Amino acid sequence: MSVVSRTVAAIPVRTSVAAWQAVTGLLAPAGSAARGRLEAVTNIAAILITAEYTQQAPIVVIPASGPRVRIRTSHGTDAAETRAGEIPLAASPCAEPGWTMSLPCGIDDIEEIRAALDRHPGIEVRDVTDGITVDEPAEGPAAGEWSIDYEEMERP
Amino acid sequence: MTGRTDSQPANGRVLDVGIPGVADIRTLPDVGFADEWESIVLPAGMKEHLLRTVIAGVRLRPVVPFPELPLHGVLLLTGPPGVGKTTVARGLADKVARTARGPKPWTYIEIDPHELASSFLGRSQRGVSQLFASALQEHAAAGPLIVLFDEVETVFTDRRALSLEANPVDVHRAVDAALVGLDQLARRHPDVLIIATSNYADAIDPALASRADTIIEVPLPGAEARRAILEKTIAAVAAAFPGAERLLDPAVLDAAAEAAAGLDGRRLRKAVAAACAVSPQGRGDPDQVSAEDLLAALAQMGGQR
Repeated sequence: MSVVSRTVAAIPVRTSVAAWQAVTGLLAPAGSAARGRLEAVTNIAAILITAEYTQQAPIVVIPASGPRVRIRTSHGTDAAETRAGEIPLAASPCAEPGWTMSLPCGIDDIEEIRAALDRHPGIEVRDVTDGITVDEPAEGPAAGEWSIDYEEMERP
Repeated sequence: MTGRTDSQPANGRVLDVGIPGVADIRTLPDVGFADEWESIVLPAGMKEHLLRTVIAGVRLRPVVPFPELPLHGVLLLTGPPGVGKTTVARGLADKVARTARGPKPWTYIEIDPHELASSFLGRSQRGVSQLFASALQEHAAAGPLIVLFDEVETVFTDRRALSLEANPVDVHRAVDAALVGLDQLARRHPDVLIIATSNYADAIDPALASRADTIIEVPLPGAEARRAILEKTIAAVAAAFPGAERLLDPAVLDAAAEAAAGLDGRRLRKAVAAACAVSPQGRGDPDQVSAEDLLAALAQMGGQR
C-alpha cells in the first residue's frame, strides 16, 4: 500500500485548532519532537482548515518510510458522521525523522502562508489545485524473507 | 480521535486500541502468550502439527502465486466451548512469531466480532469494511500480522440461515464485506495469518469455511490430557498452598482423570477450585483440600454438563 487516507471532522464538530490537534494526534506520538513541530504550525494550519482548503485537497505527509498519508477535513453536516468513523493510523508517519508535509492553500493566501512557514522546514504549502510530486520510497524487504528457527520449532 | 489514547509507541507502532472491532493489539513475541502455549494440553502431536501447518503457509504464500495455490492464510479452529481454542490461538501466534523471524516484528490483533456486529444496527457493513480496509490492511502493510477472529460465526454467519425478514439486509452485506475484505487481505498481504475460532462450526458461512486453508477440531481432552490438565492446575495451586500437594498423588490423579470424563479443560481447572470449597471442615482453605473433595467436585461438574 502506497497511500493511506483519513478524514478528520472539523467545523462545527471541532474548532479549527482542535481539528489540527486531531490531525497531529494521528501523525505523531504525544511528546515527540515531531508532535512539537506540528504543534508549532497550529495557527497556520487552523487558517487553512477554517478556509476549508483541507476539505478541497488533502494534507499530505510523506514519511521517511512507509505509505504516504493523505488527510482531509470534513465540514458542516458531514463532520458529525466523520467523527463517528475516525480511526487511528496503524503507524505514526512522523515518528521517524525525515518526514515532510504539504498543506493545501488557495492562491489568494498562498504567499502569506508560505512566508509564515519559512521558519518551519519540512512543512510546505501548495496551491490547492495542484498535486504533489513524490519520489516513491524504496521498497522494503520483500515478503517471505523468513528465517525459520528450527530449534524454537522443536521446543515444546 | 474517538476513544484513542496517545499511548507510547511499541516498536514504532501506536497502540491503537480505539479502533472499533479491535479488542487487543500488541507486538509479538509476548511472554503471556508463551505461557498460554505451554499451559494448554492437546492430544499428542497436535501442537506440533498446528505449528508446522502455519509455518508451511508462511513459507509458501509469499512465493507461490495465489492463482496456482490459493492460500488465504486462514486457520479455523472449531470445537466445543472450554477446550481452549482461544488459548491455542494466542499461544500459536506467539510460537509462530518466535519461529518465523523476518525483518519486521509480528503484530497481533484480536478482533471483537460482537462490537462489529451489534454496536450500531445498520452499520455492521461499514464497521466490517472499515476494519478490513483500514485497520487490518494498514497493519498488514507495516509488517507481518496475525489476526485472531474469535467466535468468527458472529460476523461470518451462514447467510443461508439468515432470513431477510428477521435479519436486516445490513447483516447479509456485512458477511459479504467480510469475505471481500478477507480476499483482499489474502491477495495483497501474504504475511498475514488469520486464526479464527468457532464453537458452532455449522453456523459459519460456507464461503469462509472454503477459504480456510486448514480446519482443525480441538477435541475434549482424553484421559491422558485430563490428567495432565489436573496435574498442572493442582501444581499451580500447591505452589501457593502446599497442602494441596496431596492431590498430586498419582493414584489420586488417575482417579480424578477417570472421573472427569467428558469435561472440557476449563471445567477441569475450575473443578480444582471447586474442590477447595466442598468440605465444610476445610472452610475454603486450599491447604485442607482432599482427594475426596476433588472427586466430589468433579462428580458435581459432571452432573452440570
